[in-house]
Amino acid sequence: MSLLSAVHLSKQFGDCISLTDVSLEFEPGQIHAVIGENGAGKSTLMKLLFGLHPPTSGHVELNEKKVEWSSTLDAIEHGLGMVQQHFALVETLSAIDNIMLGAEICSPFIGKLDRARAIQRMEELLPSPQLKVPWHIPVNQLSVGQKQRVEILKVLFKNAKILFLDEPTAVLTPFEVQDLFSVLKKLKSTGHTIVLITHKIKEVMDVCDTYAILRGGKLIARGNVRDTTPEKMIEGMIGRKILKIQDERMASRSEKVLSLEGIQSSNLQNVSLQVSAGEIVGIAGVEGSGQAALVNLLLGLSSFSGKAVLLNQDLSKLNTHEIRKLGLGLVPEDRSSQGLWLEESCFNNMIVGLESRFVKSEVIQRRVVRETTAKWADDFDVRSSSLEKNVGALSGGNQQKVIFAREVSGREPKFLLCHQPTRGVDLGAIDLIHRKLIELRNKGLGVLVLSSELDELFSLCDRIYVLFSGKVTGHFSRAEFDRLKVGAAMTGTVQ
Amino acid sequence: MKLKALFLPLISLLLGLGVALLIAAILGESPLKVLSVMIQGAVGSPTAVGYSLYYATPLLFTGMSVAWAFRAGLFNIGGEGQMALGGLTMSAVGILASDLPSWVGIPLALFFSFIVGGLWGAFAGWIKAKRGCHEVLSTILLNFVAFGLVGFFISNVFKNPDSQVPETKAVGLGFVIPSLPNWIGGSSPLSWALLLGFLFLCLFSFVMERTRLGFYQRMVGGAQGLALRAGINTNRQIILAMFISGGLAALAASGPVLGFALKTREGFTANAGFVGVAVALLGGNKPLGILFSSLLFGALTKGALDLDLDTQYVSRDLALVIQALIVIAVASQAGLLQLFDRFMKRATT
Repeated sequence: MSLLSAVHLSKQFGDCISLTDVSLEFEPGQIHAVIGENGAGKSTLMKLLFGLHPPTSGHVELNEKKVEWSSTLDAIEHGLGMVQQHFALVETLSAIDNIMLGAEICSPFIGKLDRARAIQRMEELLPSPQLKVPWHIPVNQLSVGQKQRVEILKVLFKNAKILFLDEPTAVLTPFEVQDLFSVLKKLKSTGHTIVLITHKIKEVMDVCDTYAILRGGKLIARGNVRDTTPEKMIEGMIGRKILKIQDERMASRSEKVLSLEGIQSSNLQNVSLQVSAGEIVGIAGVEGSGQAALVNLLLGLSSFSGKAVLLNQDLSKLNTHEIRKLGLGLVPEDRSSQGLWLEESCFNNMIVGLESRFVKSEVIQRRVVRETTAKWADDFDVRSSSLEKNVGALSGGNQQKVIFAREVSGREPKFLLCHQPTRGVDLGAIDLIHRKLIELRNKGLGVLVLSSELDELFSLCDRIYVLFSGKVTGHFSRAEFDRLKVGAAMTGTVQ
Repeated sequence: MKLKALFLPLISLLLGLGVALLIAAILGESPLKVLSVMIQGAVGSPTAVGYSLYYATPLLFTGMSVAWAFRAGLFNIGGEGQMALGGLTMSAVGILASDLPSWVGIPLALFFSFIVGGLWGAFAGWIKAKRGCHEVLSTILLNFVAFGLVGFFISNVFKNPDSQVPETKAVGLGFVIPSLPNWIGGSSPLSWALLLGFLFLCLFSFVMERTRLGFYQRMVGGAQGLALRAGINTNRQIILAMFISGGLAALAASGPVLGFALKTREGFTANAGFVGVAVALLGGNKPLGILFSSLLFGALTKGALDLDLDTQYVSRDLALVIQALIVIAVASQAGLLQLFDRFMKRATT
């Protein structure tokens, strides 16, 4: 007996087939995982189930009866609810206002919002009183975990029985993730059905009952989580075995490439840190803890006080151009707005900042550009039918490789600054990028990695600093890496 | 893909024309008659063709001006003022150094005109770079300052004492851009300025697509966040883009001032600065597109002139209506392209 099922669902956008003949059943009262890499068809499947797009062929069944959603509203009325990856909250409104938005409870005649009744109704619907959030405080004063809870409550308020959660842990600290999982288990115990869309295998193992793997728009495997292993699931996701990252680490050298002492700026307080040649140093922290301020400072884009030395030069006296010329490679946080020129060819993207090397009496030598950048692209295994193509047409992983090809092979930096180096990148490319970074480290490059993924930092770094609201709240060497200790520092709980 | 690139301007044109004819019909004029008057007026005789090309000449430059700024991510709608200043500068050089021979005189006038128009544009760029004032606001306001300045110089400094209308004295003979040889017959004020426009189109294309300057300009327009982090001085590029854009707009005065009137009159720009926005939009900010759309708009202007005489209920202002409708159609690009996709899908299945 299945509650919701996809029956031979296919979806084609123009020439692009994004889902092929997927049949899946979701049993009631369980937590189901839909896993796959970026672009595997997870979101398309959800959108079809939810009525955001009509399927090209196949149909959706609810309680084993065929349904055709006229709109998402229709789906919501039938008990489906979706918690998006990016919060859709009105930041200045209170939690309860956000929760009832779209299904407001009003007093008769005048139409005044009846918050008391809304809260009463919400509390009746809560599977456990622990799920409460402060109802009357504006949402922008809540923590990220609480905001996400508001998103879940929003869906429950509309009587959802089946909840879809799209990559819900991307923005959470380890504690908040634990919290979320206990909420999900509570919901399950009160008869809700949950579909978790994720690419993190660990979460599937921790909390889910069944799994379904999508790859290239096709259903690759499905079954009960207790009958499988993480290795098998990863293999299913990427279609091959992943090799373990080589972990032979040469001793790092003593010369410092970066040294910050007592840095103060608008978003940083008394930050001190060092990076030596031949080591990878990580910055952990919940997003918005000062990472962007740190990166901007190192790029010469913001002013600061304190002592900052990059490659033996006083950072405060240099502009961006001089800093980059000194040998700083940058993989910025936001690929599309900071790292790439989407409407240009891969060739031209790879010479940005290096264009002067290819200029002869002010004219860019296109032949030389092609030959040289093709080699750089090879170094990072950029896969594209032609490098003439606009970089915007490539997959996220290949776009990131284009940036790495430019900043590493092209620029040959003495210090590499990576901000979220593998965000929105497929596992194959993550693997390649991680291996390259360790290879570069062993060749003597100093690397600073800022990431919100602890797993990434743990596998890459020699040392980790933790940032919390602009302050360094922890410093761990490789031997001391511990999820809970680092997690505690990430929330400012200093031990 | 090629089909798609052509679809947008073509459908915009048809939509603009169609709706304008509909308006004419509502006003009680036969759409067919309006259309035939306009076509006759635009290309019906050698003289008509000559005039259409003459009207297209300034539009080539103002179209390039808008397009250059646009490729660098800026919206220069100060073409009108920059062009007026350009014309004034040509007159000033032609009056102050009236004895120079042609081979020095014309290039010199064009050079100074480019510089003055360019500085006027660069000023707007500088305020944007330093104080963050949006260029749409500053360029449009600077238009009025430019009109004032030009008016002052025309009626006080370079005034033609023999004329009742406010205009400058004539430039020296060495500053006259000669008429084009009359291959097609008829008589029109068409001059070599048209070919100067073609030359600048080629230059536009080369500098924008192939040189380091064009690379920077396009990057600042298309990926400012990237340019900033790559160590490119984006402020300098913004000021430079406005300089070049202003200079190109100034050169738009070459046809009407040095090629025809030989003097600068108030209001000689005849909206060419603003129509340049429509030309660039319809031409997709690409040289070839600008060429076609400026020829089209030139023909449209000429064709509409006869509406005053030959029709009862509509006037030459119909050309403005058509231009406006085309701009609206191009601006609603997203919706039109969706329409195109749906159409193509139906055609293929």
